[in-house]
Amino acid sequence: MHIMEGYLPPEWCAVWFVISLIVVIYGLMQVRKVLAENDDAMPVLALSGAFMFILSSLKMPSVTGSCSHPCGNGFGAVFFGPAVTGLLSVIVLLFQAILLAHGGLTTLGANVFSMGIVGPFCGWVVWKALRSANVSGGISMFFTAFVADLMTYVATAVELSLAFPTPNFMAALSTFLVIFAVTQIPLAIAEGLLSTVIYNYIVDARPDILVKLGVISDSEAGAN
Amino acid sequence: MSIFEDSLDHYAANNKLTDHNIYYKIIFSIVTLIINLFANSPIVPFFIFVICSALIIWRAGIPAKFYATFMSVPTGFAIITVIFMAFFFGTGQHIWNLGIFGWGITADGLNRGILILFKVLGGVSSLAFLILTTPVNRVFTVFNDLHIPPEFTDLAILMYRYIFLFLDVVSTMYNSQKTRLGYNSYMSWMHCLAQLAGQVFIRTWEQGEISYKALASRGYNGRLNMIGTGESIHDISLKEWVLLIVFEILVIYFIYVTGSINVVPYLIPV
Repeated sequence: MHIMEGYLPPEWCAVWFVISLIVVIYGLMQVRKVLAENDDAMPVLALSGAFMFILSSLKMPSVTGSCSHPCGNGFGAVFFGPAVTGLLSVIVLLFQAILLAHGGLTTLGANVFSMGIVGPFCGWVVWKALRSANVSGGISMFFTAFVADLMTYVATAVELSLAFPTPNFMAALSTFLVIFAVTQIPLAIAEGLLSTVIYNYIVDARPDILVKLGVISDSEAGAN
Repeated sequence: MSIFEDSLDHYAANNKLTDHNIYYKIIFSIVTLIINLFANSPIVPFFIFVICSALIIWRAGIPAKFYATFMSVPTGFAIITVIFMAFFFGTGQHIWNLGIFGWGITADGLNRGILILFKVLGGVSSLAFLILTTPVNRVFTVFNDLHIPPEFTDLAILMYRYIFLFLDVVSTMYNSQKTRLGYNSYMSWMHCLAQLAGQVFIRTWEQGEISYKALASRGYNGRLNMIGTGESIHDISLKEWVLLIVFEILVIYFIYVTGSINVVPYLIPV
């Protein structure tokens, strides 16, 4: 869920803007470094961002029967790394705000923090840990997407309960977490399954792309 | 896929305010958005909502039906928030009891919920004023004046273009999956969606290589050069500045005057 325009009090909008800005500037520096080395990276980055946007506009069936859309941030973290995903997510969230009225300009900082920074970073840590423990790509992808999705909502819950600490921060946090848990755990599982199937599909069809992105090693790609 | 067919871009490029000075629209929209955040009473955000909606529907000539569809998602979420806040985010005595689990509405929670509902309406409508009257491509030219890093702007421009290209690909694939009995059960839905997303990813990659070649053969060196339309912030007339400043000062004044007046106890006596 995106935090809507006008939802957060001004001081919290400012706080999340500042925190997100620092990370995004780091991401921008990374991108600049990549671009300095080869200028064909720009179209690929833009297309990746467009892919993330499209992914988030697809309807996904959830276990409970409701419909929602995948976040795609775990996916982004695995393929492009958390710093670049952070930068891309700023543009994706900006477009979601100005094209679909999901999220907003004043809450952009908070949304970037939860969806573009915390989620992808946690997902990326999980991915690295599982891959170094020799878990297969598909299973790692499941847990990466699951954790990224879930951590996004934990971060959102923290943001909301800091903004509305009634009666106190911990009580508000537990209320938000319980409500999100009901709706989001099934969604996170659904997104995990979906990501695994997508990942396997890409590994089957075009493993060379993943090798180029440094997601899997040459030996894993097989004789394609 | 649904909202794009009713093309937001079409209205943004073809309304009575499209050619109005873009800086003026941006300043109006952003300043109103920020001031709206400081409200502690639903009254001023409600008037911001009314004024922006009136501007969008009558001044810009956006069809009311399209505007209503655009606003429906945020409004829906905001209404859910009111219910949620009223039940779980209040302290003190219940003013109404549900009768099960000891849940009930508190005055404090209801006030907070209503405040958020109207702040969301006010915020989204003033944002809508900008995005429904201005094509996104023109907003990018303003990025340059704000000294936003050119890499960021270039990425945004390319991404914007690719999104629409891919939406086309996605809807073609989606329709062909549908006609071949896709999406008919839960597992088939999962499978089809994954195929669709995986295929789009692969297309993305191939398209990326092609578009790099296209750009490179036209002398691309890592930087897109945009030609501005020659609009300037200095084109805003004095009358418009005065109007804007008077409006914003009035909004601030009313926010100050209305303080924290809310539904309880004024509309719903305890």
